[in-house]
Amino acid sequence: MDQDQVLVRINEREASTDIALSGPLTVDRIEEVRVGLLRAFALGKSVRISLAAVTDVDLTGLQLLCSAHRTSIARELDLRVTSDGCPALSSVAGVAGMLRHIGCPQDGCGTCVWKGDSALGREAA
Amino acid sequence: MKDDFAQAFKEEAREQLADLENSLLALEESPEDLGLVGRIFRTMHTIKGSGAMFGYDDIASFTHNVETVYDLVRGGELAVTRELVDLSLAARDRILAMLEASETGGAVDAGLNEQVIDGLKKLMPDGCRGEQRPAAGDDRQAGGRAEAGGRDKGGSALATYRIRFRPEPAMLCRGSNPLSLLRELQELGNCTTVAQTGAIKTLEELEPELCHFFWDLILTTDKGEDAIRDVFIFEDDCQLSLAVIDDGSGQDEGGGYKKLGEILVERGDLTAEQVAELLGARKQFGVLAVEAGILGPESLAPALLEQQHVSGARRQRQEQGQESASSIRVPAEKLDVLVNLVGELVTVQARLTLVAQEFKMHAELVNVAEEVERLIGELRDNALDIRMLPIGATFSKFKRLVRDLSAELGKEIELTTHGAETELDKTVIEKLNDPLVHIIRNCIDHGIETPQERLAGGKPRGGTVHLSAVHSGDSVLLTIKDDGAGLNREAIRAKAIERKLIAQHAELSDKEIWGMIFAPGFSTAAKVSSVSGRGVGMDVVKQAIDGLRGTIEVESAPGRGTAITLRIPLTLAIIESLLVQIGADRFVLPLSLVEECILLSREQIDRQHGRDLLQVRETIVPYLPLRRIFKMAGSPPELQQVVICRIQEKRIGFLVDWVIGGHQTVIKSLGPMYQRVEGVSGATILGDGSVALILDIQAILRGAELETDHSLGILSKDDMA
Repeated sequence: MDQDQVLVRINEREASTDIALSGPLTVDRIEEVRVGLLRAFALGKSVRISLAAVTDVDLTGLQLLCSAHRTSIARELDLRVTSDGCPALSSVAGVAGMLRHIGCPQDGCGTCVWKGDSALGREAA
Repeated sequence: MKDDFAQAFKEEAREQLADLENSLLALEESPEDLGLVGRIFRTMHTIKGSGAMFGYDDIASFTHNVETVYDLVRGGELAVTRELVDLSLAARDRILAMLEASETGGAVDAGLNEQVIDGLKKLMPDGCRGEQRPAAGDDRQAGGRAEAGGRDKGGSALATYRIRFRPEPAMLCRGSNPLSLLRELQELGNCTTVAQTGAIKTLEELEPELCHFFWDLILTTDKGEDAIRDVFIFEDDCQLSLAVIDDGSGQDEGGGYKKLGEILVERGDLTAEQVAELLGARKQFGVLAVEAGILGPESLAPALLEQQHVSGARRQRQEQGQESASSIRVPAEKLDVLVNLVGELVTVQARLTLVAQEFKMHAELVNVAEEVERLIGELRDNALDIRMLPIGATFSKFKRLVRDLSAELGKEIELTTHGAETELDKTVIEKLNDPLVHIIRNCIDHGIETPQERLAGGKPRGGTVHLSAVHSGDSVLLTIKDDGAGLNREAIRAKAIERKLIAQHAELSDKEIWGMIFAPGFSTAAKVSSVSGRGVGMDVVKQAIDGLRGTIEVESAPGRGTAITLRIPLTLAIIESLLVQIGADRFVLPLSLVEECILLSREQIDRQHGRDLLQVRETIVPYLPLRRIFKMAGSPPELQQVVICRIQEKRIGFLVDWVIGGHQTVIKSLGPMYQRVEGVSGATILGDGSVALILDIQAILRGAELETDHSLGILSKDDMA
């Protein structure tokens, strides 16, 4: 696989749609990921995103994850994002001030991915 | 007021010069230590700056030159060499000389100043020798940056800023990265960063390449507003708002910060009316505001973080402030006055105790007297404790002495110290300086051999002088130990015989032989050097230590070195003592030397046939009848008392009429008329207002030994028979 190529692998399961992202989650390829995520949500099931194989993240990657969370709220679908301690995500999330104790205005159900002690990116922050 | 400031400058400058000397000596040992270079530079900078502020232009100008040199060292343009340290130490001495001249009105040797500056300039690389090269951090550079309002935009004071940074949405597409700006801000100090994500839309509507974030940051930094704005210098299209929310000057904020409602109103997230309305309910304000739908969580989060951040920064500052405020500078004279007053109080309290004893039936009076006695005892201990200083500062001074003297004599000597934190009364420390200098000079000159001699003797090239201090009861033991050649027993003995200090065939112990070195004019040195050898010194040391009511002990081993131990009382102001009476007069003996008191009847005295000896259990103890020594008229009582003291490992008795008991003795010096009276070191005022003399029992013993022409401590078996 091209190191600069982000790969969006969608795996539809019975109860959920799993998306495994790999490569850089950065501005150059962000539209491609957005389309992939939209496709996953379009299946109408819970969405599980794995960032374990992501090699680089920038601000567009962070805001795409927020956008996916908002989409899940709007469509009333569960969203679960896991990073398995992805170091690229941890450092960027810390610098960007993503780690928080209160969710965003849309986070009525308390599912913000950046919230709480077990939040995404908190491992190494 | 101006004089007060000038005095404060002088005091601080002296401390800084002492610190500078230590730093320079440490730099000589660790020339690569940039931390020390920075410390030296800062000390010079401070002396220069404050000198200029208080009108000491000569000091400021001179120090500027030295500071310039250390700026070069700091910048890696100049290496630390022995020559540089020598010149820097000389420069330090010149600054001290200028400071002293300003106090005494004396003249400063301008030639010496020039010599030092010329020497320093020669060390500087070409092109750096200009007179007006400004040192980094020079006030003239910073001067133009000071804000009219007094706060320095260029930095220095620790302040907290509220920053809102809203990047231009297409910033990411242009290759700019807001994250690197955030990182730069975070590197300026303690930074709390909150990403605001409210503008991010769902996946369908999101334009993913645009930046939809903005940030609220709370930054505590000493770098100043300019440094913050500099981070965004190339980001013209960004929106940046910057406000100081805590300028670090507030001393009365009590470590807290504004209430959440105030912060939200200040941030423009709520109106004052909305806050007032919410405050009516008994719930956490933030929760109420969100519940009421007038505040989004995205506004609450940064406000809460701001509250936490600034409170934390203020608490930290307050703790630091408390640390620095935990000590205050008080002129030594004020402490002396305090201790004198406490001394008077102790005397009055003794009178009160006497009066209370006379009126024993008044239980309340007795109670009050006891309570006053307890409180004054505590007050006395606390007042004396205030004057206690660690001896470390004195130790540090000797580093320079050892360095310079050993270089002068071509020896390699290191000074090591232990117990620098040991505390002694300020007056005692001051009086110890000269004796210690004498002893250390002797160690360097006579004790430690030259490198060649040491190598030939199988020793390391370099010798060591070790200074240690340790508490021992109400005294401090100061030991000066060298690993030199040790004292020459035979040479001392021969000299003592030559000077008729001892008989030709006298058998003396090592201790007694070593004790000879304290005889006036005693020296075994073959030649007189500029350092020592004239025989003036050790007797002066002995006198000085006696004056401190201390003792000296010498131990020496040939080829292994000499250790001189000084036992010094902790304080000279108030001592625990034993009050005794002879005839109608009362005297005081230092309790620290007293071991026991024994009754002695006239019959026992008669049995000794004029020899002043007393059998105490298994041993014979010689005693001195003070009534006879002081030539006091009248006859003693039938039953007298012998106060047995331990002086330099010998037990000696002092015969008195009565032992009255323990006494808190406030030491008063005798007037000039009586200061040379042998055997009396001072006086004290008793509870009934009468005066009791404080006995210098060591001087009495010395006098008695001289009179009888033999040492009372080395009695022969015949004497004891």
